[in-house]
Amino acid sequence: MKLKLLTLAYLISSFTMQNIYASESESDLNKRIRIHDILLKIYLAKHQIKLAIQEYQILLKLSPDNPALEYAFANYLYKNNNIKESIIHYRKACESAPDNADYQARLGSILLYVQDYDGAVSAYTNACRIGGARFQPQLNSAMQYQAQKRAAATAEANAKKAKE
Amino acid sequence: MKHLYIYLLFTLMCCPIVRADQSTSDAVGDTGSITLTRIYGKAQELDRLGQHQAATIQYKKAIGINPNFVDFYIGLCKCAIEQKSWSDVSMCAQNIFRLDPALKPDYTIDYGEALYHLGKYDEAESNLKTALTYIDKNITSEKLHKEIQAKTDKEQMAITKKIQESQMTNPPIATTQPQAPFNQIAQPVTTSQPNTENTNSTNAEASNGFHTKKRSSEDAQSIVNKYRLSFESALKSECILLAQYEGYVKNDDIRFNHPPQANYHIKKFLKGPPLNPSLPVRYDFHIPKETDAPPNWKFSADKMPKPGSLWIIFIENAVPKHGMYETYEGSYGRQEANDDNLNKIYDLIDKSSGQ
Repeated sequence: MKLKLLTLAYLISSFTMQNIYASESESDLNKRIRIHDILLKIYLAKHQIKLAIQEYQILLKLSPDNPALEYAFANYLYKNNNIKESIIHYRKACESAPDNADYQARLGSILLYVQDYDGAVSAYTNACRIGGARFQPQLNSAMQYQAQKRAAATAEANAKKAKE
Repeated sequence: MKHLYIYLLFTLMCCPIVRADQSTSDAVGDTGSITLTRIYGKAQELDRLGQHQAATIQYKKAIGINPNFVDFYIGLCKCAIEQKSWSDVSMCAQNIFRLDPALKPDYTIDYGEALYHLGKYDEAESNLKTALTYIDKNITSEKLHKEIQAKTDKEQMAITKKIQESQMTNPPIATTQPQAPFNQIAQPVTTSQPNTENTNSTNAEASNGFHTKKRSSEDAQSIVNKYRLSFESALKSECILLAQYEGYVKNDDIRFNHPPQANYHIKKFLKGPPLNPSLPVRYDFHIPKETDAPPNWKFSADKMPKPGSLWIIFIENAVPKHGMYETYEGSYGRQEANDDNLNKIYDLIDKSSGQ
């Protein structure tokens, strides 16, 4: 009986200590996130683009499943004319938050801008599925562009064939 | 029952330690003053209840009385963060670093954030990077405290060794006049006439009468007294007053270690809570460490100051004992209110309140 009680007490104490250590390492991670978050704000305020991008990347490594941060990073890249990279991060944001219609719509508009109409239609379709009819006009125009592009491609192919 | 005891013991070992000083009892506590302990306790209670604004007022009140107690700034810093009062956070962090540099790993992030919000981007950046190095190198305040403690212990050992060595070579002679080799150390009042000269004029006095003693012993003693017997340390007193000496309570049993009650009239409060203008003070003839009376010492009226003379009185704890206020480090807590001393005190008070 005595042995059992002692074992129980030991188990409780070791469990508590483990929890303390776990929370310590977790607090270190939180501290890092907090520091880099403030550093990011500083670099954004000082318009130090390169350093701000570095901070975004560090923050994304520290908290990988953060769609809001991915989205903010994508927006920042887009504003600084790094569209190719921004699309990658918009896609990641959409993957991390598949139920966010705004992210899907934003991806759609960027893809429309780079004339990836198929991608834009797909993104707007997702946005309409999640967010309802409010993205329908954008989807319609994307579909029109897609149709125009397809028609132009067909016409071009036909012309090529006729030439041959 | 025994098992239950063992179980409770283990459970208690795992529980976080609750600080004893959080109580609001009338104990003097870590602050060294009942008044301060009460204010501090009230501030902590309000803080716990989420009344951060009211807690801030109490913390600031406590800091006004004793600006050199780090826990007040820690409490105020937490309240200021809750209220997003970044200038207060910055002020608190600076004072925390001044009073306990080992706490830097705990408050550098808060300081960096405060600087960012205050628009001091460059300073904020460097502080945040320092905070990152603390995490990278796993530097915690506990580790720094241990390092500082180890260093202090080492220094203390060296001082003790020096004292022992000096006593071995030169046996100590009874003395009442601690020497001050450092210019900033003012002279304790132990002579028949209170110190009316410049407080730094020690050399001439040291060459006369019972002041003459072995230099090596003095040096060791003065190193020990270095920090206590200075205006910087005396500034930690709860009350600093400018008071006029009016007289003393005469009785037949006035001895070197049984001083009389001296009556002062407060002219100005330099620091601390307002007291009754009539100030009864225990008129110590020496500092606490020097308990041996000089040879042929006998009390006479000329050992008291001139009635009407002005004095700076340092009262460490504003709680009278046996109807008298005790001065900081006995006779050291009464300094003549000459221009030099007043300028020094005003300067130090300005500096501490500015921070």
